[in-house]
Amino acid sequence: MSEPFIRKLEHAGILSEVERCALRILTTNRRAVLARHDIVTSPGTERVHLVTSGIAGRYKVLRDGTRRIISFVLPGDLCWVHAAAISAGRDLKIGALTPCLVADISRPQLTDLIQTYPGISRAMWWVTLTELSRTREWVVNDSRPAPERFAHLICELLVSLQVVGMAGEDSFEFRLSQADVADAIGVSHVHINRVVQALRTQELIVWCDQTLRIPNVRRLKAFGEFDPGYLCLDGLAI
Amino acid sequence: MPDITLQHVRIDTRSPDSEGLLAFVDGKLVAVLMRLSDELHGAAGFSGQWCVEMGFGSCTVGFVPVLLDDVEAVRRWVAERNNDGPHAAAEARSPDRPFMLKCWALAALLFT
Repeated sequence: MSEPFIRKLEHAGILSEVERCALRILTTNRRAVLARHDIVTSPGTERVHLVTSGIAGRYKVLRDGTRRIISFVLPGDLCWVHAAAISAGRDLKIGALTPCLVADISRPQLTDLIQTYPGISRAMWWVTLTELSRTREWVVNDSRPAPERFAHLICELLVSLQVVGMAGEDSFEFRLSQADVADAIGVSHVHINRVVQALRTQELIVWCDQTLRIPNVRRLKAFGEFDPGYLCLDGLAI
Repeated sequence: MPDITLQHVRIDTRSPDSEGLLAFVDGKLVAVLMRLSDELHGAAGFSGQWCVEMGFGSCTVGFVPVLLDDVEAVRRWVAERNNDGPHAAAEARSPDRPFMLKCWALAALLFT
């Protein structure tokens, strides 16, 4: 089992050594997914999918061809955690935005762990609540001007990737295209050029060679009105 | 037939894009367009095209960019959005159907 996943779950509260071992020995089927390919072509109830490296996106496509990315799937994130959500979300797709490694986990095995270990059960609640909280923040973020919206997203990525040890203090590998960013913040593929230019001109970001560096993290957070509270990194008070 | 007017303006986008175009139909603003600069959009292959940044009423647009090659293409796009494409124009040039029916009826009365 991937360490980013366990590192992430430990933000819900401390896992016992037995619980960590139980997660590590979950049997998985590992596979590589090329960029621009869907991670799950037909979601089923037997498997839960864990992204262990790369960045994917949950998205919908409108009738006119507009793709809207509604959230990112980062290393350590699960897709289709709840079987009941699969039928409700048939129109939602999950695609690899960069090359990804995916581990398919047996849902019955994961369910057994949730029912057996209170720490894992709490952690899965945390995953669900965090996803809801993040969705709420993305809806609110849509009300900000586009440069601020992108700044907020960059801050979210920085903090979320730091949690799984995949970002430094002020930078991270960022292999998404400008079109991916445009679809995530809801601007056209033309307007995104100006948004990126605006952040560059104000020296809020340096984006080159597939790396995004933030010269002054505090300044970017203030610009994007970013408060990491909604990422629930302090765990659940239960 | 709607009266389409295009007016060149300078727009402060705080970016190299600054050449704008306002499109009016019968004196009412229906679209704001921007000519895409080579500096900002050359890599994406959009350089020099007119992008509909904002549309109103008949010219409302979604997120998928509407890109037009030149000012004449802009005029045609606005005309089509206002039901004044080639088909609509041909209809507008033809006498209306009730008028033609009245003519035929009058001719029939006179020559029978």
